[in-house]
This record gives sequence, C-alpha cells and structure tokens, in this order.
Amino acid sequence: MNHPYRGLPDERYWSRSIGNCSDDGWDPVTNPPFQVEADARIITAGSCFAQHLARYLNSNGRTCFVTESSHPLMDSQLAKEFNYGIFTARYGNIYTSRQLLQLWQRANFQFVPKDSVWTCGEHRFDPFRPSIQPGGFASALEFELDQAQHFAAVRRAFSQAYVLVFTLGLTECWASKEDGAVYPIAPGVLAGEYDPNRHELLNLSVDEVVTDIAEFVRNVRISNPAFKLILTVSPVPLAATAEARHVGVASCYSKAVLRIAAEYAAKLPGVYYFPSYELITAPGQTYFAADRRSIREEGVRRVMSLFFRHVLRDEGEPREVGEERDVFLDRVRDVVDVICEESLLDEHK
Amino acid sequence: MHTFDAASFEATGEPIFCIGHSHLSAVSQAALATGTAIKGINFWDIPGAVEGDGAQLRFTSWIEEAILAQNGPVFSFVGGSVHNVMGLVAHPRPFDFVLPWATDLPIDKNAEYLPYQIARRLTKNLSAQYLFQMMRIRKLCRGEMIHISPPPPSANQIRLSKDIPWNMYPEMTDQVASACLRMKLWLLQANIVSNWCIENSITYVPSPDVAADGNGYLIEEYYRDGAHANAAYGELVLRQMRSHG
Repeated sequence: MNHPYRGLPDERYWSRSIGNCSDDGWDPVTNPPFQVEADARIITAGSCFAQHLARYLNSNGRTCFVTESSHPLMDSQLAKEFNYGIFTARYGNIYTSRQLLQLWQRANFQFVPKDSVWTCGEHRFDPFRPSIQPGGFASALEFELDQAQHFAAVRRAFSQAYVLVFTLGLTECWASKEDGAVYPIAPGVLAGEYDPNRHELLNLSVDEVVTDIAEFVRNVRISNPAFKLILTVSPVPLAATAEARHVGVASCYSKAVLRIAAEYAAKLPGVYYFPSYELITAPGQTYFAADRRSIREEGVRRVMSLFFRHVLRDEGEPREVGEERDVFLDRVRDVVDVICEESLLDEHK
Repeated sequence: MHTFDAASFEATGEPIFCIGHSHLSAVSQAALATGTAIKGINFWDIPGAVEGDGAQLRFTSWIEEAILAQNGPVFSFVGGSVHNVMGLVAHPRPFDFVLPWATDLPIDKNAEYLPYQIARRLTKNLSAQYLFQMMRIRKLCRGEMIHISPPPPSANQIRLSKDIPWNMYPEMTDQVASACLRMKLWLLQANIVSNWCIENSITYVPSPDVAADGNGYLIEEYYRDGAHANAAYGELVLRQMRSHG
C-alpha cells in the first residue's frame, strides 16, 4: 500500500535518525543555501551561546572578523575581562532581535535613545552594554569617546561582513516606556535604577521577532547588499522570567517563539537557520550540565563540529591555536634601558 | 660597589643615602657639582643588584646591609620609567586614554581610545617590579623612606626623536608618541606610586614645580636625554631632599 511516508530517507524518521543513534551519531543539518568560504568575513552576535562560535572559529585558526579588537598591549586575560574578542565588536550579549536591530540603528544615528547613559557617582554605564567593562567608564568623556569608537566598529562589522551568525536567546526584554529602547538586562540588575514608571517588560511575539530581523537585514543590505545571516536559537533555558508563570513554562514559550520566528525569517533570501537548538535539546539531558541549563562542552563541540562540516567550506575539525604576544613593550623597555645606560656613560665621563 | 661619594663626604659627615635607578644620576651629578655628600646606589650600574621577584625579591647582600646601616632617611629613586616605556615611542597602533581627573588634557583624534582602567592596569603591571623593590627597601630601612618622583616628560618631540636609538626596532615604528600621552602616563604613574607610598608609610616627593612649564612639561633647560633630566634639575631635587631630610 502506498502512502506519503513510504520511501522517505532515514532522516525523516525519528526512530531511524535519532532514536537508534548515539548522541553524536545523528546529523540534522541539511542543505545550507550557501557556504562560507575560507577567506569570508564571519561576524558573531547573540546570547551567551553565541560566544562559543567565536571561540571555536578562533581556535580553528579561522578568526572571526573583529572590528573592535583588544589593543596588543593587553594580554588575553585583561582583554577578556574587558570583553574584547568575545564578539566581533564590544557589544556584549545581544539577547533579542529588537536589541540587534536597535544596535544597528543606534550605530547609524537612526535611533538615539533618551536613556543614553547611567551615572553612578563619577562613573558612567552604558545602558545597552552595562557589563562591558568592570566598574563602568571612568568619566563622561571616556564614555562618549568609547561609544563613538564602538559605533564605528559596529558599522564596519555589519557593512563589511559576508555573514553574521546570530543566536536568538530571549523574547522577554525590558524597554524604556519613553521611546522603546530595549536593554539587554533589566535596569538595576548590573547598573542603573529600575523605575516601573519608566521601564516595561516586553515579550516579543513571532511577528515582532520576524519583523525585527527582516528590518535589520534590509537596513544592513543598504550598505552591504551581499550580507548573509545565519540564525540559531540558543538552547539555554531562561535564567528567570518576569512573567507571572513558572520559568520552565516561560522558557518553553520563549524558545518556541524564537524557533518559529527563525523558521519564518529563514525564508528571506540569504538567511539560513542552523539547528543548534535541536542538536542540544533532542537527545534529552545528554548535553546539559547538572543545573539543567548550562550546556556541557561536549554539546558545544558537537554543534560546532557540524557547523564547521556543513557551513564552512573546506574546514576540518576545530583545533587549538596559541596566543600571539606583542613585543612592543619589550622593545621599548630595551630602548629606555639603552638611554638609561647611556646616561650612566655620560655620568662617568 | 659603585657609589657617588662627593669630595666633601668626610667633611660633612653622614652622606645623603639614595637608591634606585637612572633618575638618580641627575642628583648624583648635582651633588658632584655642589660638593654635596651623597651615597648613591644605582641599580643600573650593578649587575645582579636585584635577586628574585615578587614578594621573594631581595637585593644582593651588601646592598641590603648598606640600607640596614642607614640611620637617616633613605631616598628612593626606584623606577620612574614606566611612562617612557609606554609613551616615549609611538606604538604601531597608536592609543590614547582619558584621565578622569584631567579630562581637559588634549585627546589624540587619530588614536584608539583605551579605557582608563586598562591604561591604569597596564601601568600598574609595569610598575609592579619597582613597587616590590620599594617594598623591600621599606622593610630594610630603619628610618624614614622618601620616594622622589621622576621628572615630568618633555614636550620637545624633535629633541626626543634625536635621542631615541631608532635602529633598535627596525620596521616597527619611527615616531615619538604624542607629548600629551606621555603626560597622561606620567600623571597616572605618579598617581599609582604616590598612593602606594601613602599606603606603605613612604613620603612621596613630587617633582619640583619650578622645573615644569605652564602645561606641566619639563622646561627645556632641565632636559638631558629622552628619558632623563640633567644636573640642574638634580640641584632642584637636592634642595627638596634637604628640606625633607
């Protein structure tokens, strides 16, 4: 008897493609519409999970396109502490589609939020990346200069990238009631002050997420017509919800919205959905740590392995690379030492 | 042992005891010129003067004994070159930063801005070895310890350029860093070291006001080379030392 499922490939059957496979023995990635060449400029943004891609790309000797890199005077520990090299530019985690869209708009002066800086004594905090540097900015002038430098790096990143890999993390976000500016984290958590009269909770719908992404892509393509977008959905559950329901229910809803929105957004030309969410969640708790939230390294490695295999052209497995060291200080110290020794020669005349 | 014992050492009794690095040379020269009794231990002239690092840092035994033997104040000229290491030669990737207590200082619009906290951490890291040396001196000396600030930076780019041995780093850079960056680094270094001195019961003596122009840079007549002031500047410092000693 004939029926529509007869003769379908194994990947269409759960029992044959997941149920009878080891945790890393199944591969749901099919038909990427484009591949990323070895010399293509890849940029990354998104929630915490997105940080892994930059880490793995860098460890494979195929660096992300970084437009706001740490100065060579900094060692890797100091750079990491000040959030250099985590993403393409120093924008920190971008949890929502609205935050991504507004970042581009702010960097291009299309949107200037009224709540533009948080003051704490002499220190200044950026409401849109409040944890970007420990203790905030030391002066108002430093904040202004750094923000201008950051925006230039954002413009350069999106305008010159071949592809952005963006990980959607949340639908819940806090916004200014005045102009809709969306914060990465609720005011008052890391800096600033929460004011129920000025701040409100948004829980983005599928339509809103799709519209944000479409508008973002359209805007970027004005300056970068070849711009491509790879979407992923973070498998990391919500840490907390501001909705009046259980965090497990809120998390499931949020991920469902993001997954559907990604499906719709991927119908846009040059936009592709990569199933990292499924890779982590389908095997159950295998890739989750004891807290049932953090993703174990094996899971990250599994996702990255398939990303490298299917999306990056001519790539092997991820491998480790060493750190380069700036020799400037050593050289100049030698120079100053020479001057010092010469001063002694002069003294002994 | 290399010391700078002035001719009048015997006549005047206890010499002024100084220890540290090359900034001491301006004072040594001034002492020679003025017949001031001074005993100077310049680490640059004594290979192996410093042994170990961090909290385990020690001086070679005769230096430790010399410090222990001092009844009067010990004048420290330790370090003082960090602003030059970071800001004498322009980095291939020019940088600048904002000093939060001196936001009126010019900004290099062609440079990359570093967060102040990073500039501070870099300066502090480079100063660490010198602070450990000062800590060791503090532990050894029985009397007062007085730390002398290095001279302010020069703003004379042409003169500085002539004094830098450019052949030491071919294909790297050929520019003197902006004077303003040097000034900020010098002020930052002074802030770090003076605060550290307060915490460790060491008297910090800033550079003499009369040696600086209206913008805080070293006046030309006190210039010696790319990193140091001359004997005339040393005389000004000697006067400060006498008033503190």
